[in-house]
Amino acid sequence: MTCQELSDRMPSVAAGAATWSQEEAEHLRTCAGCRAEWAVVSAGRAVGAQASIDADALAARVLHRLRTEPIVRRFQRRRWLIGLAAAAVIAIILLPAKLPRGQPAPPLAVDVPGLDGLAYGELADVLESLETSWTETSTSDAPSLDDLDPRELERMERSWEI
Amino acid sequence: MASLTELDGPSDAALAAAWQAGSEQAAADLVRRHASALARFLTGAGAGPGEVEDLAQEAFFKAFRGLDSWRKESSFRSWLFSIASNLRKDAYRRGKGRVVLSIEDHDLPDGRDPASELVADETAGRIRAGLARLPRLQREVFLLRAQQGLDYGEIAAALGTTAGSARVHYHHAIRKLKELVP
Ligand SMILES: [Zn+2]
Repeated sequence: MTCQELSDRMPSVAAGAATWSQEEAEHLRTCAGCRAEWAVVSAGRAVGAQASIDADALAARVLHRLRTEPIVRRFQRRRWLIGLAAAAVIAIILLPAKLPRGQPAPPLAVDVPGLDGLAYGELADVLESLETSWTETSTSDAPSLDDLDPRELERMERSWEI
Repeated sequence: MASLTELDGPSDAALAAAWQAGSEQAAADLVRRHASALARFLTGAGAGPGEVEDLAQEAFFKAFRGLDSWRKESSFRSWLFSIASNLRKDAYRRGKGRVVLSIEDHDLPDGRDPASELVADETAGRIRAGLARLPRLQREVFLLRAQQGLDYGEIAAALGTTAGSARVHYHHAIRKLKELVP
């Protein structure tokens, strides 16, 4: 019986899903480190136990929102935005090649509707999305459109439609 | 992966499929099944009492709306926790992610003798205070492991990390919290 083995068993014993074997109980009695960890895990198990939530009322509110709030099709919107940004990048790459030789290049201005309305951070998100794969549920620390709340998404959507 | 609460009824996956086929009852059953665990997690993660209900509502709403993106190799509950964790993370980014410490909970089982209950109470209070000082990821890994009893694979799925990293975060959290035990 090692401390690591005992450590791995602590959450299930704390949850009442398992009990200590005689060997484990003996280890716990004689090992101060494991006893301290057991005190921590037991207390951790009880953290938040006072939290009360009315599950029926919560279910009713969630269902009401599901019935009444329109479905936001982020995938389509994001694909549209990515297409727009990709067109801008291609235009930036191709335009100088089309210029006649020997003439100085005029200042480059690519008018991409919608992008003007984006804040710097939002624009960075668009560029980032050209390079990285993405999923519906954001789990990384990097900010993304999925991290915006519905109000922010609506605000962004309006800025694209202007 | 079956959670304990699935033993007495249809699996979470079956309820989710029923909801997608139009059964509101199935969605309500999923909320009732997981609401309490989610509230405990959010409270442990530092959400204030008023915040817990809003975050839980938002987490379930997002879960049902995004059900197609639930990969069934992780449990519905750990997927729900991943959404809740992201909501907490958003709150941090906006500067609203205060970690609230409850000072009035009596969350220890009955039937202890008064002296040991006093020690356990003191330990519980110290652990709650210590949790608030941990980095967010360590705190959430600790909660998902010690409070919710998830294995490292599920914790990794919930928090967007690897099982190995989850184990390391857990042991860092344990090491710091052990220093607070009298
Ligand atoms: Zn030991």
